[in-house]
Amino acid sequence: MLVTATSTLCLVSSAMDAANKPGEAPQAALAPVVINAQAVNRDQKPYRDLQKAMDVFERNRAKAPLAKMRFVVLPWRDPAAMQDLKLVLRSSTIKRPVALAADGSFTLERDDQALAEDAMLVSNRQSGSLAWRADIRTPGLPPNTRRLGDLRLECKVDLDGTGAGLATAIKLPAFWAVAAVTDPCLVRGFTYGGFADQALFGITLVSGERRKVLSSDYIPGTYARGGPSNLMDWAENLRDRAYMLPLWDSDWSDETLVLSEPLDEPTVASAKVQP
Amino acid sequence: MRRGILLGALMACCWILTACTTVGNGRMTSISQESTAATLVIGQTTQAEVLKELGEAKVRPYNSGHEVWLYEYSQGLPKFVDYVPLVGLVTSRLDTPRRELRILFDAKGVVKKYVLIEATSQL
Repeated sequence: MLVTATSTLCLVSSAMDAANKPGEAPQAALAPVVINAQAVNRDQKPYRDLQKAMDVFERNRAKAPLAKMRFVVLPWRDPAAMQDLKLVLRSSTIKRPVALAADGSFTLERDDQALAEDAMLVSNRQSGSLAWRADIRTPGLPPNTRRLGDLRLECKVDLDGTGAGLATAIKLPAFWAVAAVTDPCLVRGFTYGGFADQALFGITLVSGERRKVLSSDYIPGTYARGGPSNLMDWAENLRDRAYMLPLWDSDWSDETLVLSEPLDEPTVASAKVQP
Repeated sequence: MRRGILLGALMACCWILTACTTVGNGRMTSISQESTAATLVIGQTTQAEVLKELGEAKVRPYNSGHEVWLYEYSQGLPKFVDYVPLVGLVTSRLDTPRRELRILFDAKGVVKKYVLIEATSQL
């Protein structure tokens, strides 16, 4: 974006030089060029990457056959980022507002022209204001309950292949080496984070009679502070809601329910977890 | 000289990969569901009382004024090994015994709820 703006400025400058050559008839003054500096640093995503995520979802619907996929933006640093937030699909010929629900979720239509013109989904917020995720939910589940298969797919649509680049991440060479040959979401040692709907005390996996209360390792807000974690989009305003899951653990099927326990829910007195 | 340095580096790697550590609050080795229930009375026990009984915890404040206090005890490889690229991928597959007491305090510093977890698996 910055390169585009600078190039435009150089072209206009050359045109003005040409207009003022001595000996030539004066030409009409060129219209003033207005560069919107704020537009240079907007929080935005390439439409191409978002469609890539939609394609991965369609190819892997078997993991979440009843689920619907939306995208969601959440306030990375300041809750005020959601006030009057607008998203616009923009390219050289497209300028189309995208409807945003109150919870920050939205859907995108497939658009070959937007793809051909390398459209961007541009917000009216500065870069680093929003946390972007896919939001894949099977309808009909109780509040604070998600399906593990849906959450595995949320990870996959973001990381598959070269990735859609939704969540912030530190991707070391080891990640790319593994991602080249398999689904990194299913590799123990890599983690992918999401956000509960409310501030979080704990996470429990439930599959039939089996229950497992996850340790605080899976709730990064309870331990990670400072260092590289500060670069993550969960590290500030969304810290209280951040969680990770053992997506890699094949002992827990896609049908496993993931219960997030808000701070104000009745007490879970204690739980002994079997390996 | 160079052979000595290489040997030293090799021994350091071996130490990292084989050394076991014990991390956390020693009182967690003997705590049970019953003793925890006796120590932590929901709606009554204060942070000062928990500090006196269990010692220092990792404290995690929430935006709402709540606090989580975390007591942990685990045996296994040093935690930092998990963050060494590739090595971490291997060692993170090893299950290590782990016990964790997570206590939620309300904004007034009184126990709101808690969970005692005994597990073997981490991330």
